Amino acid sequence: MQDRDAMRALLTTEATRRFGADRAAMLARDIDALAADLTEVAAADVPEETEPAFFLRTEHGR
Amino acid sequence: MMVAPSELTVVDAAAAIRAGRLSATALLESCLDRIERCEEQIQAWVLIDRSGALETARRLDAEARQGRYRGPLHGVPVGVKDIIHAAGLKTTSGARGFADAVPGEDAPCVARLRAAGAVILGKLQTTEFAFSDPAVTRNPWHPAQTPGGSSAGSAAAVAARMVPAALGSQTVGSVLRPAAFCGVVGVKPTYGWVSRRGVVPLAWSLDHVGVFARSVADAALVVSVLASHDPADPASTTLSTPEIAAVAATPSERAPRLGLIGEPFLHRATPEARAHLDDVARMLAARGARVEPVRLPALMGAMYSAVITVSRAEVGAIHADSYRRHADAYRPRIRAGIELGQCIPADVYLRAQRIRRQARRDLAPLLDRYDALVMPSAPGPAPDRGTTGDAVFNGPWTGLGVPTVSLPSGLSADGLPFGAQLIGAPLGEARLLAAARWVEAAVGFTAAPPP
Repeated sequence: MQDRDAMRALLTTEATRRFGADRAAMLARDIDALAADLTEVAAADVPEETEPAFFLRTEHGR
Repeated sequence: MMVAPSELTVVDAAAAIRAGRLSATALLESCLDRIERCEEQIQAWVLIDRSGALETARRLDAEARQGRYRGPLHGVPVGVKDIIHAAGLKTTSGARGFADAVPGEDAPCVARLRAAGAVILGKLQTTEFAFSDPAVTRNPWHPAQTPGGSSAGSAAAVAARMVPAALGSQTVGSVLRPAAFCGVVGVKPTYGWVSRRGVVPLAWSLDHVGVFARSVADAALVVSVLASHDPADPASTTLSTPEIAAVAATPSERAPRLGLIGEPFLHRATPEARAHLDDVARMLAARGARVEPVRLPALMGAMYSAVITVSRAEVGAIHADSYRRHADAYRPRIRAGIELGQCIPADVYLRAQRIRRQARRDLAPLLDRYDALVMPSAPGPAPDRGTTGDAVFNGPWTGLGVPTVSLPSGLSADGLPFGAQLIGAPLGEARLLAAARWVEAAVGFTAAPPP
């Protein structure tokens, strides 16, 4: 599990690699907001056997 | 005083045309007159197909004179959000020219409207690619306020009586939120119930086609027309879809059982919105509804973040090629969304998708127990036009793929509409919309935006 600072650093590194340091700096506020969401997701307790949803058409029952 | 045809609901207009009291042409001309008067201020439309719509209306009138009716929407004008393809009409996706396309054929949802007799009046404003950079459209209740987004033009046009119904889409909160801000009914059916083919995608696993109208019965009628399995849409459900046309035809007599949602949402609502929900809940209980507070499964607390994670990652993937060619042409918020979506680690994206599946399982018993869960459609009334508003009350339900309805439930002290959001079980549209009809009748909202 990663904390928000670690998630922010990870996103900043990847944004810098892809779009350059100047653009990554411009995205700082968006990075911070997204880091909060990703941290929440990373911390959520999901049973190990639960597979990803993707398309839900096969399980409109359960 | 005689009511202008543009004021009629879908159900009443369709009935009047079938009874020979109104022609499709007169109804369309009344809508065009209304557009003539309001459009300069509201700016709901990208394109009005005046000649094509008039030609269709005249043809439908000729058929009606021979006693032939194409379906339940015979002669009813409908607007289409400008990310949805309508044959021969340019789709701009709200972008600045670099994504324009003139489709050769209708999206299946538009084709089904035409087959049911609807007149496609034109294309309605959307935020760029249905993301969150505000569109030019103004809220008919107050021009300084946002109509919401992304289906800005669809909600505003229906509220302003320019058209009785419109198609929109919802990936996070793009039908329910603008419906609430503009004081109209919005319905987002179960994921996979309406084909997404011919709709410019924002996020494959979250995109839904939805409907705006001025009554629950109207929305139910239009939604019933849209439902069908589409083998060419990988998300289209193969399961049997509920028959909801009856909901449009018959008011619900039975008082519903409603689950009142508190946290993890209500702390984000304004005090006025919370007090309004309390008032509505008390009034519904006094009218006979069984209203009980419910506790949501713990995982629902992570659902909005899961939906943001999925939507960003998918918009980053969908626009990857286009971004390489047109990065500077995108508006700021979607550009940032695309860029950061490409930075999301795969394991976090997959965990978000696992949260969606597990939360859906966890919530199933609650959705079975109640005809609908109830909460505000938005944290407060429409904010100013610098934003499209906050989708935090809608996104979690979109992520579950369950059907939701927003109906107007009152006005704020500033005279702006509040919306009540009703949430149902997957493929539970008939039960949900019946409950929504009952709530709508109990609330008795009759206000309209200034003329």
